[in-house]
Amino acid sequence: MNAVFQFLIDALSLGSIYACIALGIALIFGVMNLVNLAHGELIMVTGYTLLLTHGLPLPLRIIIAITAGVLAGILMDKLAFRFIRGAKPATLMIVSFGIAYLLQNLAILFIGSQARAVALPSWVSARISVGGIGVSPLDLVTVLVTVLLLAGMGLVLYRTPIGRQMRAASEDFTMARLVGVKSDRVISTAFALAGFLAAVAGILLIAKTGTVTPTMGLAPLLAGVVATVIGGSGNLKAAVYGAYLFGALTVAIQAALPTDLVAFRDAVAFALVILVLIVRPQGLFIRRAVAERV
Amino acid sequence: MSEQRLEANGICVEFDGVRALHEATVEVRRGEIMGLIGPNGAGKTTLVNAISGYQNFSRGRVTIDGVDASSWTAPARARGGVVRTFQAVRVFRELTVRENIELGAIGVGSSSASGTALADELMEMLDLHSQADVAAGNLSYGYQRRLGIARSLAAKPQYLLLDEPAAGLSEEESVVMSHVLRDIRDEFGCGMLLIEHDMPLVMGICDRITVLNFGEILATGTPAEIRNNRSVVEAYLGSEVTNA
Repeated sequence: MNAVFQFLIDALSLGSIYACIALGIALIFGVMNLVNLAHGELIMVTGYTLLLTHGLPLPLRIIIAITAGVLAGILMDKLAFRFIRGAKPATLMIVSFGIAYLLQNLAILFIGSQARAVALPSWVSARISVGGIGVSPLDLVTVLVTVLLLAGMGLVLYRTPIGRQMRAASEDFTMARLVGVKSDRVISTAFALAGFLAAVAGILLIAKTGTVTPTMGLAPLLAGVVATVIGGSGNLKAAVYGAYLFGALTVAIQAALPTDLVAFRDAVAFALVILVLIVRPQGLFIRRAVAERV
Repeated sequence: MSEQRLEANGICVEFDGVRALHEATVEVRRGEIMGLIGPNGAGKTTLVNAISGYQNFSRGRVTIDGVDASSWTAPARARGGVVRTFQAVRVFRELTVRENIELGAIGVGSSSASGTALADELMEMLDLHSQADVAAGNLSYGYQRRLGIARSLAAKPQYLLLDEPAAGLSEEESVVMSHVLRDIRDEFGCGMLLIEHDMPLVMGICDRITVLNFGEILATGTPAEIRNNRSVVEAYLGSEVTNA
């Protein structure tokens, strides 16, 4: 019972973090066909902001760090991608790779390449007992925050004019422009939302690990990209489902593998991803083939 | 003279040296339905593409209410009041019927509230009300076509270019479509350029008709004039339509 509950909490909490990252990646892929390899650096920027605001009250640090993540997202578009609108997906991706590399090296240059510990309140790493079952408050906070955040994103996407425009643009960008959707505004909003989601996910990740490094965005980026691919590229809901599935899968593999094989957790997970791509290249949660979008 | 009308003047288009349109001239006045007919390959869609900004032309000009729009992009012409539909229906499949229509309205800067009201009005007019919250991808073909037109109308066009709105529709659906088009003209007062192969529909609702053949304008006139035009009959219509 305890083990099952622990598995559910772990799977939900990891899946939720992945979902925040994957949704951001899918939003940007949807509106501009960009697989943003610099998405992980939004997390990194958030992380270092949290580090550098050391000494301020925690709520203020969180607000500043999230603001930094959002600004980083908007600036990425305004300073780089805006100038190559309509470029081929491969070009866009290589530019994003360059941005990722640049930001990582700026972090190394100004702050250093070593992992730095981020001071956080002690409850973050505590464990409490709920009805005889030990849980970490952080896991509960993670699940609560991300589920609320995803629900909020759902409201933005499905209940507001800009959300409607973003969904239209991610389905058929050309047609969306034709009916008068302003592409710059939609893309800017997508970057801001992606930055926001990445920042929240980043803070929760840092609360788990307690450290920041210049390359800390890489693993979450990979998980997010994998989640969008197995869910179905270019579809926002499918990306979220894919993230929860990949989160559960990762946790399940970790629990199932013998201790000395846990190091190969990612290898097993990615082997399963390859299998999914062979069997259902359009993604698990896409009904129709949307090949022409990709 | 040139106010209140959409004009394409002396449009020439070549594809790799092959002449697709030569000196094609067509004019749509506000509040009229102008039919654009001609055999397959005559250049009808190319002409609509040129007018709406999807096709560059080597010579000629497009004016909207007297303003030269030849160099405008397609979205700019749409903002300028020239909105088109496509032969292939391109509704947003993941969005509901209502969302599709509202998107057309919000895109041109209508407020959310007026967009909602307009969407209601359009759904009523095009008989889409019962499907308001259905994802557009789940609609039947006939409904998708009407939705495409409703979304175009939400942009409150001065001129609406319709590329075969009745193609693939059953006979009854086609009759419904002709009523819809007439209602649109009467209630919105916009000018319409209608490409259509369905002759009874074209002859029934068009105020004037332009005939294209091999990229050139063969004739322009009222349905009665076109029906009795010898060269049109020889080139295209055939005897069965003259008896219609």
